[in-house]
Amino acid sequence: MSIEKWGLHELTLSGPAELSGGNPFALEFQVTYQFRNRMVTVDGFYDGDGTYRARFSPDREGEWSYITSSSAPELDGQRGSFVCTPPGPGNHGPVDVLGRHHFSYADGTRYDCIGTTCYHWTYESKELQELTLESLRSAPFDKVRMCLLPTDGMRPERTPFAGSTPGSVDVDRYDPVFFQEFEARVADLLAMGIQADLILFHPYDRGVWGFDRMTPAQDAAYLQYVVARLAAYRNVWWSLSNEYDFNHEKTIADWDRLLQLVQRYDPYQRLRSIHNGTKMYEVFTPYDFGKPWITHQSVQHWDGAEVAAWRDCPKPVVIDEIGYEGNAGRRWGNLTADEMVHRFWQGMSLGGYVGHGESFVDRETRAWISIGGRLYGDSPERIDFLRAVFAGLPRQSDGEVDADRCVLHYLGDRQPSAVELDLPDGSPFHFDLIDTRAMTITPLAEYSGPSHIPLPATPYLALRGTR
Amino acid sequence: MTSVARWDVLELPVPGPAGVLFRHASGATAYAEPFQSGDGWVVRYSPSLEGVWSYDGGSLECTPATSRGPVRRAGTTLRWADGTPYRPLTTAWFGDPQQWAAARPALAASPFNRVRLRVSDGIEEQVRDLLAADIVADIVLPTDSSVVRAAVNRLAAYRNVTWCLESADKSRELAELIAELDSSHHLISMHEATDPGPPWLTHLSVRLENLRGVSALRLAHDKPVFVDACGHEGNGTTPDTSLRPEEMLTRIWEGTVRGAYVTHGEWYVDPSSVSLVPWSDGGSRPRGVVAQRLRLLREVLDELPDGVEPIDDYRDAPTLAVPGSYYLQYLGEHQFPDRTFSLPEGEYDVDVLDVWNHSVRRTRESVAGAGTLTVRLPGTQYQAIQIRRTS
Repeated sequence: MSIEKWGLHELTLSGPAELSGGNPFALEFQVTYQFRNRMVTVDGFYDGDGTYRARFSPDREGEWSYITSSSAPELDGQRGSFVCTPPGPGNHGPVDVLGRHHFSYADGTRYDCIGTTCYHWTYESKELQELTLESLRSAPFDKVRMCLLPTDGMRPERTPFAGSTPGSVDVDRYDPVFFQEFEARVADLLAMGIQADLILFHPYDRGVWGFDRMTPAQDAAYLQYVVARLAAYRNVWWSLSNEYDFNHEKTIADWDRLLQLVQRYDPYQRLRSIHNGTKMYEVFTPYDFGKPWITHQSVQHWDGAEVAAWRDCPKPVVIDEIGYEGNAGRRWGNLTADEMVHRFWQGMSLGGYVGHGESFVDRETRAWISIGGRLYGDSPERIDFLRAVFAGLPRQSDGEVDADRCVLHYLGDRQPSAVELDLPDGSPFHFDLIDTRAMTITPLAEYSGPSHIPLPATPYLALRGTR
Repeated sequence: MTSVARWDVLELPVPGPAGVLFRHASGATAYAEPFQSGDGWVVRYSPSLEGVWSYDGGSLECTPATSRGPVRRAGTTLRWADGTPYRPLTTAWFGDPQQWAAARPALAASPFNRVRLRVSDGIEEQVRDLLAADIVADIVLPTDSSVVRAAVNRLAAYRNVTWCLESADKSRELAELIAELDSSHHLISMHEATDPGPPWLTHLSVRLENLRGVSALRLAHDKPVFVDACGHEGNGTTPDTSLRPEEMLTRIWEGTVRGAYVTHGEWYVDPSSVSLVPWSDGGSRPRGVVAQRLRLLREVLDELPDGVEPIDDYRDAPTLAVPGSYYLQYLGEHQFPDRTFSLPEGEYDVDVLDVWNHSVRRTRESVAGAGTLTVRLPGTQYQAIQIRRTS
């Protein structure tokens, strides 16, 4: 048997379907994988109907062996091995932090981090899910934020827990079929090279399902089950909660503990953060991203210019919510494409990353941020253009733009007739004028030292000088 | 057939640098990379299971252990591989190989059972000497992966080794390299790691001046916490090297009774003589008073009951306990006149330990019903109370 590097090895065993007085989902079952002397222990999980599985993603080529351990004899002491082969085409491994503020795949390939949000796309009909995938295939996005848990108003056929009627869900047991379907979608994204930024809790339950107010033991068991099932997919990121500060049932100490638990359960240390809410233009209370179990800053904020300040914390800044293009009746969801893309350029040119969202409410499919479906806005095309520009900038080994070889000035929503730049002396920079709205790049002249550069006096321009 | 006791060291000459895979009948495997020795190549291996191990070119028999094996993590505590508790008491000695001969007997005669050392030409001799003295060598490794590889290939087979990476932005690559090469699965830490949480770090190695902070670290990470840098007793020129002995001693007690492991350091200089090398810089023996006074802590640690844990019942003083049968409470710089404990009915040996003056006052006390016991104290600093149920 062979598995490609960073691929997924799945071990399937038969075990007890019912435990007298017990819960098969809580049965102790682990698998220790070994390469040379290095051992990596993963939690297995109960997948229903007497089937137990363990998933593992190997990160070294060569022979791996494994041994199971469990309190159930039929799941204990089983040995096996497989060969890990070189990664296949398009497999660059999981994304990790590069330097302080950037990302790269495990094989060193740059990761652009241009995300979007479709919170509950996996809860929609099969047809709509396929449409979402179709839309993503031609969109510029390489990350999707998506929720595991339903909101108070949803009445899906299945939830992660056993039961789909509010008030009669058993939160100590899970629905394996829900997860099987969810995982198939995570795998679809993986095949398209898209990261799945999984939102594990959210505050939009308000006690209806009760998933926002489980006991600490139930929270821990849920997280352990989710990590056991999903961590081996190399495109998984953990977002502990959306708008964590809107859940008044939990405290910062609770979030600290839950984040620490995910860190403990996750053998790979997938990227891990927690996303704040805002009362737009006034209230902004991000989690303390300096805490060691946080890998990157997953921010909701309306202003891309704040990136400069957040970079004081030595972790990548990802503004996962900066407002959405659309025409919704809420101010977070009715930006013009111009404003949306402007915010992207602002945040990205300061060394941060920005996420997209779309919220048109009067089209054939409902808002993209909620259900996926079809994209109607003008911003994705311009974001694709931005993505290509940023991917092409010369960079240092820590991911920062190499200031010795490149200057990038985004001029924002102003309309200057010229700018004065104090460029380094020496060999001149070749300048291009980038029109972020028209998506054109026009060569200008060469400049060095103090320079006066005439401009067409329109907004949304950027100047790029390279040497 | 070659034979070696479990957890002892076997040296095998091998034809070249290729790694050797050892296979046990149970299915267990171990991997060891050779290193150059004289004109040839040698692999060092320490089998962890009794019975026959085979490898390409031969086999060996592992006979029953004559030692407790390497140190293993057990939750937030440590055990020898045979399951018995390991209670480290560490000193820092970062000397050069030529200073070792003088320091060796001082270490063997000290209360310390763990010493922090730097990789050098002399590290192998140091590890062997320490093995003979039943002392664990915590080896500080640089961030150069070729040095790490060479050190692990040479030293991993010694059961008295643990690894400590120097502080760097990321721990993963080096920690996983060690794990891959180390057939004995020794503990791995990174000193002052930005994030000690990942599973490839087995325990924390922190710098901490306020030892009260270790309680939160233990809870946050659920791993053993080593305070490997909290300052040095001495008269050096920096705040870190000029702690009063009382302060050094109380830091070690405070952290220990909070469930951590605190490293001793000493830095006495003689302004009129360059020949006096501070102990932790490679000196020949500790010249201060703390090392001697730690003998009392060593005795207490050696007699701690298995399963002892920090408890939260006494918010104003750190307390280790096996609830109902054993308590160790440390009162630090505070001058309590007395302390009251809630205890089940029974007979107790009560020790008042004057940690600074190294004296113990023992009394036998009875508690009737589910009652309380008030222990009178001398009203001076640096007192500890040990209560042990006798019936």
